[in-house]
Amino acid sequence: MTGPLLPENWEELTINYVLDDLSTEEAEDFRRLLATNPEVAKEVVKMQETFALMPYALPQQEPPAHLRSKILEAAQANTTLAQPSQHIREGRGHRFLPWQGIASSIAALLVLALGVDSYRLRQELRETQQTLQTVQRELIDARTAIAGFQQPDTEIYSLQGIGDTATASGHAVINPNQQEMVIAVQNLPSLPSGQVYRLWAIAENETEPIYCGQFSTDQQGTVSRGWNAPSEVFNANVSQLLITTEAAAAPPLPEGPLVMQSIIQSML
Amino acid sequence: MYSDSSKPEQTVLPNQTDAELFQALKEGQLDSLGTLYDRYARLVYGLALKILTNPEEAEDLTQEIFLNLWRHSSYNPERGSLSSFLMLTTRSRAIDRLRSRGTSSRFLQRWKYMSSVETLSSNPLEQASLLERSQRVQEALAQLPDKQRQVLEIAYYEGLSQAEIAQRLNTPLGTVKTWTRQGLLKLRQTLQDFIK
Repeated sequence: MTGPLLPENWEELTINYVLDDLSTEEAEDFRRLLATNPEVAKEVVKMQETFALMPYALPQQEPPAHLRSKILEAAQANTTLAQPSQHIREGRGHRFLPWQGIASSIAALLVLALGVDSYRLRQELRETQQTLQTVQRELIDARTAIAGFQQPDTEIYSLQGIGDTATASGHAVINPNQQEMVIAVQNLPSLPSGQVYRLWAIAENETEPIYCGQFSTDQQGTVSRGWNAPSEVFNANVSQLLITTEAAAAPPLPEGPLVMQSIIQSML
Repeated sequence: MYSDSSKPEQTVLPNQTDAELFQALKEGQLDSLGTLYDRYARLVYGLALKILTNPEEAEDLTQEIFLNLWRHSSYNPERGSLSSFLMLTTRSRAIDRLRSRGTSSRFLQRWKYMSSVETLSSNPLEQASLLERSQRVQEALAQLPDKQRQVLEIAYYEGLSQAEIAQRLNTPLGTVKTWTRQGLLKLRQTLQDFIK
C-alpha cells in the first residue's frame, strides 16, 4: 500500500501534519514522504477534510447585510482594473513585458485603496467606478509607455479593426532583444473551427509580407499572447502590421480578408 | 451595480457545483462570486467571528477571503473541496491575525503541497445544505468524549500545538496526542460520507 520508506510513526506524523504541529523541517520531510506515498497522501487529504469540517458545528452567523454588495462591488472594481493585466499574463507576457507587473501593482494598490477595507470609501464607491474606468484607460497607455522606456528597441504598434471588425483594437509589440512578439487584441470575434487569424509584417521598401504567426481569440473576442517570431521580422524595419483571416491549414500566404491593421507606429 | 436589493435568491444557481462556480469565477463571472458568497459567507464569517471574537474584524476578514478568491486564488479543485479551502484559509488568517505573526504561509503550504492523487471536487458535502452539514458535524462532535472534542476545538480555533494544549490542560503530552488522534479518527469515521 505504501512506499518502502514509510516510518513507523507515519500515523502520528499525519495527525501532527494535519494539526500543523510539525516544525518547518519536519513538515518538509513529511511532504517528501507524501510525494512517494500516494496512499498516505490520500489519507492526509481525508484527515485534512475531516479537520476542516469542525467549523460547520459553529452556530450560524449571518454576516452583516451590506457585506455581500460591498464585496461584489470591490470585486467588480478589481475586474475593471485588473482584466487587461490578467489577459497579458495568460500569454507569456510576464517574462518579456516587465511593465505589466507594474500596471498590476498599480491596479492592486488602487483597489486596496478604493475598495477593500475602508468603510468610508464604500459609500463613495459607485462614483469611483467611473474614475476607475478612466484610470484603466490611462493604465493601458501608461504601461505601453513604460514598455517603451524599459526596452528601448521595442516597437509598439496600435492595431485597429477595419470593415466588419471595426470595433476591434489592440497592440502588438516587437521585441528584438528577446526575439519575440506579443499581441493583445480585444473585440475581434472568435473564428469557426479551422480558421485562424494571421499576423503579417510589412517591411519598408518590401512588398512581400512577412508571416509572423497565427492566433485565435476567445469567446469574448480577446487574445493576449507572445511567441517567438521568425528572425526576419526583427531584422526588418517594419512599417506596418496586418491581420488577416485564413484557413489554419493554408500555406503562409496572405489570401484571406484583412481584419486589422496597425495605425500608428510609436518607437519609444 | 450590486446592492442589498440583489438578494442571493435572485442570483443563486443551485445546480452548479462549487467546481463549476469556481471555473466561472476564474472566467470573471461576478455572479458566481455572489453565489459562492451565498453558500459560504455564513461559514466564513462565523469561523472568523469565533476565532477573532470581533464582528468588525470578522467582517474585514470575510471580505478579504472572498476578494482573494476572486482575484488570485491559489485554490486548485484537484486538491480538495472549495469549502475546505475556504475554511483552511479563513482559519489560518484568523489565527495569524490573532497572533499577529506570519504563519499564514506555513498553514497554506500544506494546501499547496497536498498531493493531487485524488480529486475530491465532487464532494458529497456540496449536496447537503449548510443546515444539514451543520447538524451532522454537531452530532458527530457530540458523540466524541469531552476531552477528545476539547483538544480538537482548541487545536482548531486557537491553533495551539498539542504540547501547548497539554500544558494548558495539565495533562501529559502523550495523552493529548491520543485524544487528538482518536477524536479525529472517530470524526472521520462518523462523517465518512462527507469526505469520501
